[in-house]
Amino acid sequence: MKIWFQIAADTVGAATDAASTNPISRLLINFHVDTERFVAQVLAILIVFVALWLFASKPILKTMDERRKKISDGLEYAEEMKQKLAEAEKRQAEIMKEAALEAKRISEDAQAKARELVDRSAAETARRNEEMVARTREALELERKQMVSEVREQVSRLVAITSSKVLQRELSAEEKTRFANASLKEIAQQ
Amino acid sequence: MLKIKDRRQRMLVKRMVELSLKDGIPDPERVEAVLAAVRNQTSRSHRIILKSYLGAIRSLIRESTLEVVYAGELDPQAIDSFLKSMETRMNRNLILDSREDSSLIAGSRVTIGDHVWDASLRGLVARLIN
Repeated sequence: MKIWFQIAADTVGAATDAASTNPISRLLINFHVDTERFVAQVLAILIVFVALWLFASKPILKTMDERRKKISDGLEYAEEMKQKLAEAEKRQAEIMKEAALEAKRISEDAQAKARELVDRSAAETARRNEEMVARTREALELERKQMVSEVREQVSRLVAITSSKVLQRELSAEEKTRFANASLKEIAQQ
Repeated sequence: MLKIKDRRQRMLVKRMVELSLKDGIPDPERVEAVLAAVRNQTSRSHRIILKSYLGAIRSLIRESTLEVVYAGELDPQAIDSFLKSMETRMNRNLILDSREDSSLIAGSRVTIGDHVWDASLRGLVARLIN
């Protein structure tokens, strides 16, 4: 290191001698720029720079890269999730719409079926009523006929009994004998 | 007649019935003779044979009896004439059983077995009622 300083000082000394007529060297002299110190500082800065470059910048850069990557991944993920959320909301909206339509359709069907059921019940009730009325009419008619038949039978019976009693009283013994003989002849001829 | 499974017993009953008839009509004396003969025979199936014989005789009597029920009085000649005509018609001898029944009002009713001829006023009135 000392050798390098010596080389640099010799170089600067040679240059100062040559630069006393140079504007730049005159500027340096005016601003009291110490050449040796300047070089040393530059060298030190360079050394620090190299050291930092070798030992600090790489890990830092690596860390920064990782962080940058994480941030970008995070942003990507967020973007992706945002997209998925949008899609999910869209799908949900579609499903809700479909469900609403389906519900409306089911409601209309149910109403139609209810109406149909009511109409059918009314028709059925009317039909049953008519049947009942018809059956009642038939039963009444049958009963009437039965009553008429019974009355006719009773009347016939009464007439027959009365007639037999009258005949029994009215026929003489001779007439009865004549009837009996005639009946035997009739049976013999049958 | 009671149905007999045994052929020999069936033939025996038939023979007993034939021997009990006189002019096609069961005769009381002949029936008595047949029964006496059966009594003298020893047989394990007396009961069945006699039951069948009784049923046959009853059936024959019913089929051979001319029952005449009348209201009022009947001329005896008319009854005889009627009996003869019915015997000719049925082609066998008949036993006459006549009686009066005033409930017939007038006319008569004749029965032979299951055949009934009703020529009475009561029968006529009953037919009118029905």
